[in-house]
Amino acid sequence: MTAKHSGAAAVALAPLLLLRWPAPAAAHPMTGVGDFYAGLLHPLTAVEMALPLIALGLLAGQQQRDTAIRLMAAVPLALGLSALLGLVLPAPAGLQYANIGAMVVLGALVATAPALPAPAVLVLAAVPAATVGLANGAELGGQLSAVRFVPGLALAGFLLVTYGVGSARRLRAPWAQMGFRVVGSWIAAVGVLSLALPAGGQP
Amino acid sequence: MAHDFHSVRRQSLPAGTSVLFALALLAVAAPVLAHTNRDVGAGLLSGLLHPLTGLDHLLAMVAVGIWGTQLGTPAIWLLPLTFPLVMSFGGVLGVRAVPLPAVEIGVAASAAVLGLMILLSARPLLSVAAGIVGAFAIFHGHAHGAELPAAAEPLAYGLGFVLVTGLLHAAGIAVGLLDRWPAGALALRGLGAVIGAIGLYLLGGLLL
Repeated sequence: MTAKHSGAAAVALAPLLLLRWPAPAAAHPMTGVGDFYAGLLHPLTAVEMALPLIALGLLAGQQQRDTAIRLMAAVPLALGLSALLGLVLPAPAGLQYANIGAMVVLGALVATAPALPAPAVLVLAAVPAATVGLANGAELGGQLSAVRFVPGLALAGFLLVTYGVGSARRLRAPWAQMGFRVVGSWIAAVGVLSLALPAGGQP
Repeated sequence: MAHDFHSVRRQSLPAGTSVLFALALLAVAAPVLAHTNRDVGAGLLSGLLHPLTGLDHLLAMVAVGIWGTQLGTPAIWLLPLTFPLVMSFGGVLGVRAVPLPAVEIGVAASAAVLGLMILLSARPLLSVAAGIVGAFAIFHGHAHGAELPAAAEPLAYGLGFVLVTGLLHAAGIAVGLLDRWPAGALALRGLGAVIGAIGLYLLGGLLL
């Protein structure tokens, strides 16, 4: 092959390579980017894990400052500890339904924005965080390093709650507060729909 | 022997082109991905597109936002908050294949009635407005929910269509902000007439 031909081949192949360049971010777990990042991304790649955590963040942001700060610590702690528990214990039956139920309860709470006592909010936050953590721990299955995965998971919880608190506390305009409540109704609606599905979320 | 092999390789294909070719083959080969995430993407996409592919769905969702803006606070946020919640219960009926009579007629009628409400700039009691929107939400939810179990990833499908429904409400609210100006209010009523007329046309197509 001459230099001219190889140049033409390179030009012809280059678009194919460019197509390849944006690698689809789809592995679940994403072993290719490291176990820590797998832990960070794992709860965001499943609807029944991501939405309860997003709702938790918004709910935390609707609370008093002190309660919100406590939740920013409690949620990652509950996620991490329960994920470690999930490594050694078999996943309880109906764990997915617990997470979907959390979408309904937390989404409805965000939508109605009631004034709740701090202990009640902590319990309402810790229980779904624990079930999401258990589900994550149960899916580790010995393929990934728990030492790296679990901190990633806890960081994901911390970030989601922190973003929720930051958004709901900084954006004080009435339209923004109403917007958060509407997002809560969306999360609750997805939860209600999902509860109607047979076990495993499949027909 | 090794020397011969290398000399043949140099003659047949330059090293740079070989590397490019190998990389191109990687591009062509489908990457081995975990099953769940690809399903999430497909389910989400089909859910996102479903309300957009039906004109009656689309117009009714936008009309909810416009009418809510005409009604003002608290309807401007209460209607978009009520709709997805009630729609989800209609969706449950659809998922469970509970028969609901005249679903498509109800969806088309929602565009006609909500368009009429905008045209008239109707201002019923908040509970009545929420009741009208909620009643139609059952039909919309049933239509979407009936397709949910067959989706690649039902949860992601549900998220997709709830998300787009809400965003269409938001689009309606954005359009409805024209109501602040007299000319804009008139334009909105004209838009209501168009939505209502299309709804009636679609309704006629189903009934006649």
